[in-house]
Amino acid sequence: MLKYAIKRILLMIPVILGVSFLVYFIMDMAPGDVISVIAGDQNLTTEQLAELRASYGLDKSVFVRYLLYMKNFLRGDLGTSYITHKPVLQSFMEKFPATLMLTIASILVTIIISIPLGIYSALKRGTIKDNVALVLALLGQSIPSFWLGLILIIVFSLNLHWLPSGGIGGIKNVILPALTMGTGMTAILTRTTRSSMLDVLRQDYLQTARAKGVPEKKVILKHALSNALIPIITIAGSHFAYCLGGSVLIETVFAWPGVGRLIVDSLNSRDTVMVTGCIILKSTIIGFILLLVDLLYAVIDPRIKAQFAKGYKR
Amino acid sequence: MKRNLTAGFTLVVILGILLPSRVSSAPAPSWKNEVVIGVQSKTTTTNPTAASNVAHSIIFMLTHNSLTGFDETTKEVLPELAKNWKVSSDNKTWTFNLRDDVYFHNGEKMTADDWLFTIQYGKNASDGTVKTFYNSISSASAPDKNTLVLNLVRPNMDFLITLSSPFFCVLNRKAVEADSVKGPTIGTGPWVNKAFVSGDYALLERFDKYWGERPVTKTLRFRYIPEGSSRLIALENHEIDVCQAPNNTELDLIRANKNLKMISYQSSALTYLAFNMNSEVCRDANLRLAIAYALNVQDIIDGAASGLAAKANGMWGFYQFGYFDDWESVGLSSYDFNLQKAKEYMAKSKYSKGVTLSFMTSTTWRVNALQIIQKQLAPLGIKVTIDEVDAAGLTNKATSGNYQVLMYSIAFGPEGDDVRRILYPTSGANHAQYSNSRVTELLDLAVAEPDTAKRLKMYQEVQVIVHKECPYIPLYYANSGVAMSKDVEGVVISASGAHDYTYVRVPAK
Repeated sequence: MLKYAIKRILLMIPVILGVSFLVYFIMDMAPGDVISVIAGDQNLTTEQLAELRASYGLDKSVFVRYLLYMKNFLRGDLGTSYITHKPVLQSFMEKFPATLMLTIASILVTIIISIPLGIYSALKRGTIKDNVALVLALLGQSIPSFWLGLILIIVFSLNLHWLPSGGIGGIKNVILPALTMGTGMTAILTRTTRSSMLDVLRQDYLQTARAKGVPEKKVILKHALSNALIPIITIAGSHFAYCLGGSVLIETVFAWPGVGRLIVDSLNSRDTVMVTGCIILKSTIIGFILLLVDLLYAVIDPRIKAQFAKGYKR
Repeated sequence: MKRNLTAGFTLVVILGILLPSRVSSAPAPSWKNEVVIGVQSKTTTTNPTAASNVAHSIIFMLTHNSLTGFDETTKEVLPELAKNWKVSSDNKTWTFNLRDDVYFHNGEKMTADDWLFTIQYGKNASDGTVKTFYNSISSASAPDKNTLVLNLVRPNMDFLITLSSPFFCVLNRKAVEADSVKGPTIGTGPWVNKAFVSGDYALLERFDKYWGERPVTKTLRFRYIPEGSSRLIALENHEIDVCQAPNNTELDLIRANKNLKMISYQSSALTYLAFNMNSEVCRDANLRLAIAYALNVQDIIDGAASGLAAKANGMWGFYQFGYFDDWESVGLSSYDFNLQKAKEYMAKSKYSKGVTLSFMTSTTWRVNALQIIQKQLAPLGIKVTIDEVDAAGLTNKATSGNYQVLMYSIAFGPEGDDVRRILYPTSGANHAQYSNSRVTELLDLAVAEPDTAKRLKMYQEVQVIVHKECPYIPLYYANSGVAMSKDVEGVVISASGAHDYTYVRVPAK
């Protein structure tokens, strides 16, 4: 398993290099650069604009700039933002805890709601209760998160005064954004849990367990669910990794100072250094999360663990 | 007995006079410790030399001071860190007598040497506007610790007004030399930078050694809430006390809420169309004038700005020095909607049989305005295509001349010379790529002219030429507003959007 993990980590290197190359060059292809944003409506002559561009190193070709960027990157320096003049890593780490908090909260909301609902829906397959669960899942997937967020704020914050309307703070501040972020994923995970459970519930070994007198609750939760977990973990893990990149809509509605807005604001400002650095960090984090998900399969499924065992032969 | 009664009566009268004045005097009001302001634009720095837009000026004017101040209502330049000043006969050398009771937030006393340092520091500022301004000062000297002499590269009659901008404020030499990052955030203003998280909030604390009147509030928190609805909900929920720039579509909600009040004002932001005068189609003056008279600006205001704007009558800031719009007195007419006149100009143009024109803009509401313009120009045979780009893309295309017509907004300051940005040939903000040698000459003469009447005449001539040639069509000044809890006091509204929260206060409940 260690060999596998090391191999996956080494494979991340070309991925990160490829991502940095793509992002850097795509940013350069977009019309305008950071000087267009900084200069704006100022009374600067063409010569002054050229001087400003040179002071930011933007007079060099994109290839030279990329090579200089990678030279610094290999020394662990992700560069300094053109707009804030702060190191990219520092800016990212200022925002990342907020994004991590929101992601963990939204995953908890998703898991707490979707797994029981998915199991229930599978057990009540074909009944009205199953259809209700499926419709709720469809609604959750269809509702725009922007709209849902505002509705939750109006109901729980403005009318009931139970929760704050936005901003970062304690547990109360994270409930509404986590619910909003988790709703769409809850719908997907509920359907995945349902279909995964339906596959497992047909298996003969469950009949054997029942015949041996195992209580029904134990049959479902221990024997069935544990075998249905692989696709559930895959979806939940991907969602976790995706959310760690930040959600601009949620962060905008709830004034949540996360990584999503940082990246989008930097994109709009053509802050190539910040965008590239943040995307590299985000890709690295996602890579590690997906590796952890793969390793978790081995924990859950002994058959997969056996594949990693030394000397195992097919 | 009679004597005792008299003494007693006298005592009662004396007590009657003294006691009511003690018993009936109102207790001193108590105020909330913290006032929270919800802002719509992000600030990225608390260094006044690193940014020069409105969002940053709101913070800088609280934490830092300039040599002069400016009263928007009376248009007067006021003393601030300079008590008084004089100018040489050639209008190039300004001598300022500084206040002797000003302290920085780190306890250091302000001297003229700090200004010498600031000017040198500003000449290498990262912000273009700040850098350009400081480089217009050829040299500076300090004959003593309370006297500052500035020599300008050329005379500038707007100099004192520009000096009042919050970006041109004194920095403490010792603080900046000790810490180049935090040093510039130390100012002399009534508020101290306590904490700042870019894209989240700025927290300011009252400076108790401030040289002027001390605010009664202890801390100010500026919370960045980008979404308008969320910002208003935060106000309704008492999470913030002031909500800047609420959505126009939600003004009725504010008016219906008896716990809130709304201060509306006409913003100095002028929305306009700019013709690229280097584009062959746009060089046709009759075509430009046809478009000017074909536009029903009130319909555009009603459709795209919810009726909340005032039609602009000239390509000048309405509260800017030199503003002129009495076109009839000079034999011209306003660009008022007149389809007949528009058709006459169109018939005289090279494109009388019809033409396709591309209009470029950023932001959704300007796209809505262009859709209305599309319909309004159709009767002239002008087919309008709309090219929507983001702000950076628009600036880039505008600078490279890669467009035909541009719809944009600009906020002029009170200085007459500020119009140079859109009329001077070498200016990057001259979106019409406009170049007229007489206009250029007049702008250079006017900025150096000490006689107010002569200066006004020069600016009038500039506006008449520009109106005749029509490289720009001014459309409207949008209305804007600030919503707040009904008991908030002390907010000073500015047409530029840089509202002054120095003395904002809320009675404690």
